[in-house]
Amino acid sequence: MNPHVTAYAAIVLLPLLAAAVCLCLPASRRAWAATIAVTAMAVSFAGSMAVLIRWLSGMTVHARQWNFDWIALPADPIRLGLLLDPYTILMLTMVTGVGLLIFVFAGGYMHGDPRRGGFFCSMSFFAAAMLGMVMSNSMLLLLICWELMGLASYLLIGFWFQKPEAAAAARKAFITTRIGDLGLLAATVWLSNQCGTLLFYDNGNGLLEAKNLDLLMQAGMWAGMGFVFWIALLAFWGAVGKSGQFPLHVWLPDAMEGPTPVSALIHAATMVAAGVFLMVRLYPLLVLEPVLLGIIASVGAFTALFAACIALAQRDIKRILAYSTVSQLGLMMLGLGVGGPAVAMFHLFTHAIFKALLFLAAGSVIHGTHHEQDIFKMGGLKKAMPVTCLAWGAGYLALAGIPPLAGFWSKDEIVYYAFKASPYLFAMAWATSLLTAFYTTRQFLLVFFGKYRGHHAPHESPRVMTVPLLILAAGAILAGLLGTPWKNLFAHFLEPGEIHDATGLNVVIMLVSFLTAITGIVLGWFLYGRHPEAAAAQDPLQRIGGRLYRTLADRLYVDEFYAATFGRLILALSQLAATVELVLEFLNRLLAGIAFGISWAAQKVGDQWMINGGFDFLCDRVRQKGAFFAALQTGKISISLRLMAGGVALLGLLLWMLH
Amino acid sequence: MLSALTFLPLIAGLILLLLPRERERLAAPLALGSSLVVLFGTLVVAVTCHQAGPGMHHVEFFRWIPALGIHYFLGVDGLGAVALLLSALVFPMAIVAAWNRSQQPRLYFVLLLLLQTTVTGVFTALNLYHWFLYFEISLVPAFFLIKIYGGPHRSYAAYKFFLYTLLGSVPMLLAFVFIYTRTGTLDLVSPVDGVSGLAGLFFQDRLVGEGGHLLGRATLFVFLAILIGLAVKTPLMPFHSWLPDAYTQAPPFVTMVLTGVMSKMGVYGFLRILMPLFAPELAAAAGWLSWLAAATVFLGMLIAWCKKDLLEIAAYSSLSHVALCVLALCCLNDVHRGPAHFAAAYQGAVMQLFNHGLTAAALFFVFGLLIARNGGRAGIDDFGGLRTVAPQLSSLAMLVIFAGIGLPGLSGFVSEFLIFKAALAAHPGAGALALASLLPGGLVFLRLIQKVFCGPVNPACAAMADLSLREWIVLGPVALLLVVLGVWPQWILNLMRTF
Repeated sequence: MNPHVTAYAAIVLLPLLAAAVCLCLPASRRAWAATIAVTAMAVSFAGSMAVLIRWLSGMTVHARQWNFDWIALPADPIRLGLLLDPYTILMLTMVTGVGLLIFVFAGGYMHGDPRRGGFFCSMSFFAAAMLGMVMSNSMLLLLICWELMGLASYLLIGFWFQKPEAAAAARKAFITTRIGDLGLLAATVWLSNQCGTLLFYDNGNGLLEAKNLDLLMQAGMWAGMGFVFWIALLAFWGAVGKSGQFPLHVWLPDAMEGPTPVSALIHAATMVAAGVFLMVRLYPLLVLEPVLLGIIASVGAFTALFAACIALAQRDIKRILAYSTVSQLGLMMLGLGVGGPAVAMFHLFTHAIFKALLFLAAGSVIHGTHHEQDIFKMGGLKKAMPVTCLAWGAGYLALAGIPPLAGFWSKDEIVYYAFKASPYLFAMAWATSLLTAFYTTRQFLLVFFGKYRGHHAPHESPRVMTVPLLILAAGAILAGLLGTPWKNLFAHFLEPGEIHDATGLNVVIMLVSFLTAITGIVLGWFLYGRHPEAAAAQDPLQRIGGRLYRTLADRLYVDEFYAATFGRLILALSQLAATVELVLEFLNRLLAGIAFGISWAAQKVGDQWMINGGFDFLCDRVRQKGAFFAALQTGKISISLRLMAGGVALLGLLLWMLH
Repeated sequence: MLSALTFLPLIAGLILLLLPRERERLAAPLALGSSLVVLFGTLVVAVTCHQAGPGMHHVEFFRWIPALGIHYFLGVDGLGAVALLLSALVFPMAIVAAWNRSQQPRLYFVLLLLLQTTVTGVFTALNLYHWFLYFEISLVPAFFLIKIYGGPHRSYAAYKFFLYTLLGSVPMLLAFVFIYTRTGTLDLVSPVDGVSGLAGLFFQDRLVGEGGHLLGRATLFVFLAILIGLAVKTPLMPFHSWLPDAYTQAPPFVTMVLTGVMSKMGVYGFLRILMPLFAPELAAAAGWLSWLAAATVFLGMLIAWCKKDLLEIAAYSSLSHVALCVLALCCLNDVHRGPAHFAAAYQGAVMQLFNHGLTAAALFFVFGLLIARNGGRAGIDDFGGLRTVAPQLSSLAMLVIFAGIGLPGLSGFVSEFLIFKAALAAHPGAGALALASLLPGGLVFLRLIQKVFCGPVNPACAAMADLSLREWIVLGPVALLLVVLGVWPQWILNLMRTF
């Protein structure tokens, strides 16, 4: 085997190995779990950096893909493979880098938990699955890793499985994403049947290469659209489930039941971005259908605005961030639809950094306030937790879109392309930016300013938790500079041959974005910053919003709607089917009854009455006749002779008559 | 070799019968010993079979009643090897599972061993006469296992199971007799030249004109008669009424065998008899048969959603998963789609046969343990928080469940993927319906995990014991096998290589 490939595969295999080791750790050695997981992640990160540096320094890696047979069917074997391209390298670096920091943080956060072994096992397993997904050169391997990530997510959301809410949230996450996964599975199977391969790139024979793309374009039509549209739509449906897009977004806020490092890694930085990554990966397929790109952009824009609205009225520190994640993922989808992969990936990259930062900071806050999650019961934490406050501030401004922090550049690019594509999409993106700046300000002010309203004295987190925060904060401040419109290094790295530096109109849009963010922040300060105590006593939005605020706080009743429609429908169908079973059972018994009836009747009528009775009847008749004739046998000769004479006379008469 | 594998359990059973009453506790070790020898022998057969390549191996042929075309004719190919391996794996599991049975242990193991003989017989027989004989006799030990050791409604369930499958077999028997009267042979393949056996005769028959001269206008009826017999055994809706009763009333450790191995006799019949002899008829029937199979797949899981009893849930999901094999069979004769398509369907069917047998046996084993430890209560609400009380048991149970709902990385996914690949190409509608069953499947089992293993500890099972060493011995290797099959499925596919 090629040593390059072995080293490359080690990036994904090391976390897997760490997971296996953590699983087998005896209880007495569970303290080692964090160390093992962090070490594996660190080595993977080093490996990813090495790959990145080799790539940047132009030392071309010989084979960009390495494929092997998994199932050897006679004609078209089912093949899996690994891929090395800029998208993969970017994701590898991001996942291992952010993952490493979160692992370190988790070592502090989960300190003293009796089930640390299981925790780090699942976390490492997740990391392996995620890395496998981004490295995969095969739709099937991608699907496998995709669902394994789902499993890890399920296990980690339900990590505190004793809590009924956590168990319910885990199930909800698994089922909802599985609804999406069915689409992805169908798309995979369909592609496999259309093209006879599932490899993305295979020296001209891959799915995403010209030959098969032509083949797909010429494939059949269904309901007025080409097969390729339906395949891509099914794959997008999978992305909708995983990336929490409307209408399958309901699981992501509930997923906050998991430990906070899990929320940071899986439900903010990496796994939920997998849907966007999938769309990026399949982009050569998607561009064949402009209608589909329009759908993706619209779904993304709608989700972004919709989730931002709900985030306005949430009180739970993590749920606000969760809805914010849904909203930002929507922006990524919008960016993909209007601007292409590089745009979406840039926001994915910056978002991973500042959202992981915000979640870890939220974890630090929750840790420091003794498991308080209601922002209205916090306040004034900037004194007690200065480092956390500082880090949060960086993440907050990055998310709100203040230049030159990371979020500004990536969001600006999306808004710019949305403006070029359609005024509606631009309006939605603009409104999302405004609301984002507003609700992040609300959260920041309520948590860190004013007076402390909790009961337990807050304290700053230990250094093992704050150092990762500071590193991520530096990333949140600086990462955006990689992709300014004047020198878009980021896009050049992803798509080397194309022109990305767009100034001109973009400067105007940048100004608009900036003013929007400032407006949102000022509005937020106006409502929550001037009289923090009054604002904390009653949410000013509640005063203004009234019924609408309630509706938003109750998440627009989407969950209730699903429970009342789909939940009831599937239960009703199930009961209907069970009733049909009962009818079938009844028919069975009826048939059996008829069979028994017939056999009883046969026994009664045929056996007892006809055969038995008939025999008896015949015997009786014979006996009766016998009695008659027997009566004639009197034994008197005279009578006998008389009868004989009569008989002879009768015979003679007959003979004469016959002649 | 094959005869030895077949009759060893029977002989062991006879020895058990001769045991004096005070030595009754030797019954389980003896039974296990015999089944382990069979497992070893089966492994040898499988390996030699694999090395020898396609075709029938380990052939045994003796004239029995030549005047009636009845020969004692055994042989194994890839398909047979996989089925044999499954049976040889499930029986030791079932024996170890019932190790400490207190009620009439000797009879229990004797019946189990007798069942193993008949099942092995079905998977090796190549003459329709004793194939059918084994197929039917297997009902007898199963009947008594349900009737004597089952739940409260065991008697009804046992009679229903017995009569239902027996009735299904009557048309099949008549069909076999008719085939004999027309062809003069009951050998499925020829022991000599591969042509004069039924498979060869039917194949040649199809080459002449329109085909179907051998049986004339009766062809369709003969096909349907065999189909009904197999559809009852597998079972397919609407011939499945016996299944929920039998699977829930039989002791769970017997259901392991019923669903793990006996239901596979039906699928095996499809692959061994119906497919080689009636390929055109099967292709013609594939349209509606695929809908029947897909409906069974989907409705089975859908019905499980409103059930609250562990065994009922497992029974209906088992019904659903076996029907996937039949769905794959409906895609087999879509020859014009090319060999890859054919291979996906065939390998998917055989692999699903193996995977489901293993997974379902493990599932009933786990549920049997849970119910036994909870004083016989089997509702999902009677449990709660088992991950706290019995973490090892819960982890392995969850692994088995995830294999059952087709999680990638575990065995179920591979065969399901192959089957969906074939089905969506050949029968898009039915294939999509079967694919949709993954959703109720997820709902059913995730709710089960949530209620049984998560949440606060139910006081009723606060003192539940974790896995014992004996239970580890059963579940550990199975769990390992589920993972190995999911990650590296090629070895079992190599084993079944018949092309």
